Amino acid sequence: MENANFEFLNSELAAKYFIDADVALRSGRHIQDFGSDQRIFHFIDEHYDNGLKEFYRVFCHVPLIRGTADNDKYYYLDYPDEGKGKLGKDNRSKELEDDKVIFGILLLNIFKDKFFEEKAVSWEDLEQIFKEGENKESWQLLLFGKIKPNYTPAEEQSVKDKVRSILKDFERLGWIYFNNLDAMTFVILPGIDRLVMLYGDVINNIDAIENYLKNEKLS
Amino acid sequence: MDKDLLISLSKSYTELIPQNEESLLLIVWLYYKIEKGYISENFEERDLDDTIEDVAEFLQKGQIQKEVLSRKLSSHYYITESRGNKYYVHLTVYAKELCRLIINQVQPEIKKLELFHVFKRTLPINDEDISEIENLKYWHKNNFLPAQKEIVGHTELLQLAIEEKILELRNLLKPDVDNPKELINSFIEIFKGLEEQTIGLINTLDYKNETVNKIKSAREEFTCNEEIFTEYDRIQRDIEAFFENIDYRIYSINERIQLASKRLRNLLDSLKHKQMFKVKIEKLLQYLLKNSNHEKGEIRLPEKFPRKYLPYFYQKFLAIPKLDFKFYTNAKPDEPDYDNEHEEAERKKGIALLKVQESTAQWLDKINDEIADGSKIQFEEWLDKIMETEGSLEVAINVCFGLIEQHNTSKGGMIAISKEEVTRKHLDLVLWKMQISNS
Repeated sequence: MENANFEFLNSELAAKYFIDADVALRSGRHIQDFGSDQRIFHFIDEHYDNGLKEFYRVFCHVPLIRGTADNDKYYYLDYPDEGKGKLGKDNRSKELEDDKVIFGILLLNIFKDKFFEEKAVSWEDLEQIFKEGENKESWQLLLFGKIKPNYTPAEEQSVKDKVRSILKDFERLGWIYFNNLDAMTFVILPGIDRLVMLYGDVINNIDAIENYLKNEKLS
Repeated sequence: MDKDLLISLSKSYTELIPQNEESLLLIVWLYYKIEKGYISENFEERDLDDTIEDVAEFLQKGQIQKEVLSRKLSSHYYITESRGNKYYVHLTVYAKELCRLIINQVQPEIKKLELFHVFKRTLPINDEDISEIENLKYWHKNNFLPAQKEIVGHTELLQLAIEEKILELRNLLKPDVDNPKELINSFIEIFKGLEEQTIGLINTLDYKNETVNKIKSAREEFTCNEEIFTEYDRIQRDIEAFFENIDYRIYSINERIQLASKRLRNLLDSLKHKQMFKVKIEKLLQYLLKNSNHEKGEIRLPEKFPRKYLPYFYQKFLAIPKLDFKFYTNAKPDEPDYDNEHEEAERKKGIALLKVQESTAQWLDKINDEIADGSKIQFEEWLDKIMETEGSLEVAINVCFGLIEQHNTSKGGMIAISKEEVTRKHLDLVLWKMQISNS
C-alpha cells in the first residue's frame, strides 16, 4: 500500500457525508452545488485536494474528476484510460444507452445555447423541437417510427412517457433537476457537460468521423 | 362574464380594432403629426389626404383609395365636423389612447421613465391619509393604483426588453458574427442600461415598507365598524399582495440581467472557441439524428458509433427472496429510518443561532436608544457589558458590525475610530477605540 494520507476521513464532515458522497459517486452521479447535493458537494470540494482524490485513486483505481461548465464545478468518478478500475468488477458500470446519448447531446446543445440565461426547459420546448424544429422529420422518425401530420393521443403519450423516463435517469445522474415531474419542467445542470468529457474526441473530430462512418457504410 | 358585453364585443370588434396595416398606420401617423405639431388638433381634410399618401408611399402600395380606407375606419377613431364651408377632423380620445398604448408597446421608452422620482411623490402615505376610511380609499384610488399601474407597466416592458435581448445574444454564439468584440461591448452597454432600470425599480419599491407599515399601524383606527374594517382590510391585502408579486418579478428580472452581463464580460476571450465547439455539438446531434434508426420502439445509434460507460449500482436480488406470507398478512410498509439524534443536534444549533441573533438585536436597540438620547458611545465599554452578560464574543462582534453597518446606511450618525489600542480583560483581545454619536 502506498503511503497515502487520508486524514480527512477523521473529520466531522467525513463522518456525516463521506458515505453519502461515496454512494452517489459510485452510482454514477455528478455532484454539484445544487439542491439536495449541496452538502456532499461542499464536503467533496473541501477535501478534493486534501486526500479524497487520492483515496479513489488508491482504493478504487479510478480518478475522481473535478469538471467545470460555465464556471460551475461538478465532481464525478471517471474510468482510467485502460479498463474500469475496481468499478469494472461485478457489473458496477453501465453503458449509456443509445436513446440517452441522443437526448444527452440534445440537452447539451440546449445548455450551450442558453449560455446567457437560466437553463430551464419545459416539455413544450422539447415538443417544439420535435414538431417544429429544423430537424423535426428526423426526430419524428426516431421517436414515433414514422412521419405523420398528426399523431394519436396514445402515440403522443407513449413518446412523452419515454422521454420522461430518460429524463428521470438524467436526474439520477445529476444532469438535470426536475422542477415539476408531472409537467416535465426541468433545469439542465452543469453536470451535463460530462458528455463533453465522454464524447469530446467525437465532437472535436466530427467531420472526420462522419466521413469515415459514411465510407464504412458504402464499403 | 356579462353576456350582453360579449355580444356587443363580437358585433363591433371590426370597428374597434384597426383591421389592416393601412388603417393602423394612418391613425398612428395622424396622432404622431398632431403630437409633433405638424398639423393642428382639428386638422383639415387635406391633411388627412396627405397622410393617406404618406402611408401609401411607405407601404409602396401605389394608390390607396381614400373612400375604401375611410370605410374601414369608423367613428370610433375620428370625427368630421363642418365649419362654414370647410370640413375639420379630430381624432377621438379612444384613438389617441389606443395610439399611445400601441406606440409604447412597440417602442417602450424605458430610459425616459424616472420612476424613482415619481413614486417618491405618489407612494408615501401621510397621517391624514389614514385618519379615516374615505381618505384611505382616496389615497388607494388616486395614489396607489396609478403607481401600481406604472410599476407593472414598467416591469412588463423591462421583461420584454430582456427576453428580446437575451434571444439576440444567442446570435453571438453563431460562427458568422462580424466584429464580435464591438458587438459584445454594445450588448454590455445595453445590459448596463437594463440593470440601471431594474435597480431603479428596486429602489422605488424600497418605499413599500414605509407605506405598508403605516397602513398596518392604523389597523386599530378602523376596527370600530365592521364595514369600515372590511374595506380597510381589503385595501391592506391588495397592497401587500401587489408588493409581494412585484418583488418576485423584479428580482427574477434582475437575476437574468446579472447572469447575462456576467457571461458577456467573460465571453471576449473564449468566443471563437465557444462558437466552434457549439457548431460541432450541433453537427454531432444532426449526424446522430440522420443516421440513427427506430427499431421496435427503441432508438438505435449507428453501429460504429462509440459507446461509453458510466459507474452504476445494479439494484438486483442475488437470489429469489423467500417470503412466508403468513407473516406478511399485514401490508404495513416499513417505517423509514429517521436520525433523531441528528435532527435534535440541528434543532439545537438553530436555537443557539436564534439566541445570538436575538441578543444582538437587543443590544443594538439599547445602544441606539443611548445614541438617540444624545450620548456618545464608547464601544469598548459596551463590549465589557455584553461580554459580562452574554459571555459570548460572537454577540459582541455582531453588535460591532451591526453598528458599523447602521452607520454606513444612516445619514446623520458619526463614527470615529482611532487606532489607539485598548486591551480588554476578556480573552486575548486587543481593540481600537470606536466612538459613535448622533452628529
